[in-house]
Amino acid sequence: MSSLKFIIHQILGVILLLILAALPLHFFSDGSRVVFQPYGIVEEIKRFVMGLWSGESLYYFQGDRSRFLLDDLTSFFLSSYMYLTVSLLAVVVLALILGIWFWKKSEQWLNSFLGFIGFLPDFILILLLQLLLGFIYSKTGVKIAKVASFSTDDPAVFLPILTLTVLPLFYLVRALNEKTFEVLTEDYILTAKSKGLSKRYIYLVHVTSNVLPFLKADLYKIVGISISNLFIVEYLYNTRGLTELLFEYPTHFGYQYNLVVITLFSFLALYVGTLFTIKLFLFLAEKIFMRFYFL
Amino acid sequence: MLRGNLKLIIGLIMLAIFLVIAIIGPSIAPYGINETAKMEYVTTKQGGTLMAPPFPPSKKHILGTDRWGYDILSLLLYGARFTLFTVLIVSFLRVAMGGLLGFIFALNKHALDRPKNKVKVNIFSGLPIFIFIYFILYRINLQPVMRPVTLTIIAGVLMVLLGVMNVYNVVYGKTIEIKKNLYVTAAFSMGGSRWHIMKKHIWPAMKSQMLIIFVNEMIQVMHLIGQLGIFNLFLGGTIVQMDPPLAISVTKEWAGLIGQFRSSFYYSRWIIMFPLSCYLLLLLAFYWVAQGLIKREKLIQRKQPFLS
Repeated sequence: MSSLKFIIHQILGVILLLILAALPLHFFSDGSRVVFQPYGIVEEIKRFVMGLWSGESLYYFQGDRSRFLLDDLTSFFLSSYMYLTVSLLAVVVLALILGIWFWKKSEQWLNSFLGFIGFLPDFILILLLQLLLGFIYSKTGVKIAKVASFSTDDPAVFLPILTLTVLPLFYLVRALNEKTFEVLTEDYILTAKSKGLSKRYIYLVHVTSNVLPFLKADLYKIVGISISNLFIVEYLYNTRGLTELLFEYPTHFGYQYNLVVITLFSFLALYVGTLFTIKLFLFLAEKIFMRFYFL
Repeated sequence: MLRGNLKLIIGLIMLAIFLVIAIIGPSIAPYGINETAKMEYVTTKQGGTLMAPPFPPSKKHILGTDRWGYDILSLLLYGARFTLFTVLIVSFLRVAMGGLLGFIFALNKHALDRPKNKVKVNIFSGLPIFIFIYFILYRINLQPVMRPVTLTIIAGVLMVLLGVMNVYNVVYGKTIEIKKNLYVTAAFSMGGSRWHIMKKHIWPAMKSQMLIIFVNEMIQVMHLIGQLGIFNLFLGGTIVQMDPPLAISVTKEWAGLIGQFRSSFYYSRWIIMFPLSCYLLLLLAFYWVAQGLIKREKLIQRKQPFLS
């Protein structure tokens, strides 16, 4: 029953996505009135699904040239994946350190003015960072990092990763802080303390192992937040990635339904891929830690 | 309620000021919305020069003008109402609808019902919310034929619908937590009706939580319209110019102004700085209110950790 529900849920999601991607073609204003063509949407979806069988949907046009979609998609995908994974690994490691072991310090920081940074929207943070670096450059002539990529051979790396790290980090540290506080009020901590266990031991074994499940449960949300930041990051820093296919290509080469749909689908792959990479990392870290600490 | 809670007080005062600005904005604006500063011929000691907009901040234009000579202060005053009222109304509707559904479903959930195992990953997991609004509105928001108010309402409805689920989940979860308390079970077994439980046990505990959720939703909605603005999808419509390629906000809404002036980043910085600061100040007001409310909540439910 529940697997049937799962399948229906996913199929409905796919249909909704197919309709959504067709809307810019069949729901528009033509200068004097708003046009909505529901049959056009059905036709579009039909053509796309048929095209999948014949392989036609896997080709798109760059101007007059027809190109194989999956070739180009892979490189864009890998670029997005690298940015996302590297920054998320940094987020998880830093959140463990700041959110659990230094929860008191980080709570103070979050309650001070620094906490406001965590509430800034991604695009504001990026604009402010670019403005700041521009200001420093104009005053001192020091280039700290690239404010945007100007070519594919010379991409901006530091600022995109920094932005992708900062925002989920604030969210996660805040969440872990609360959980750590809650765990520390539990009776088993009092018991451990009264047994004379050292503070370090209690933190490493009792607190961490009780907070970690929340971190794992929160990963679904964290990766979601990160991807939504990735959209803005790639767009504003002009780095290579999946969003380029979504926003830049339609303006240069016209809106191509199959290109947009397949790109949207690959965001799911990006989500799942990143999620499992992080889960694998946590799993391995836990195993290694256990091995060293208890043997 | 407010005593000693500086963040809450300052945040509320700032919000009140923004509200007043939003209401009386257009009537105190120094220039009209279609009024542009013309090129001027200025004679200085070195001789005469032709001055063309953008003009930097001066006595005539306190916050300067943009490159077509529109007074930025006036634009901000005109746009304030669209930003503020959209944020307030959308987040209110989100909380009202999501909260109501959350309460109803949580109250009707029987203790023996199997917990629903939610589908955690679906096709939309990797897509941010603004992408939905982007695809739906993209072509009707560019070169709009509908009135700005109609377009704003459409965008608002979409923002409400896409945000209700989030509020519902939070309210549902918290209500279930409260329902687990023994006093609620006692009230149930004494024959208390659901309405009674809601009124006497759940609402008093959830009251301040709902306020916090409301303020947090306002912050979320501000993020959302800001992100849409970055992708040239401005509340109330976008006019596109081809030569040079430019997107212009119809309603002069603040997030739209940021998106519109984004290109003036490297030469005349004041053009983007002032809309950006207004947006940030509004966000800061919401943030302080939220922080103040959370602090008050924490004082009420204080527990002591055993380990420092």
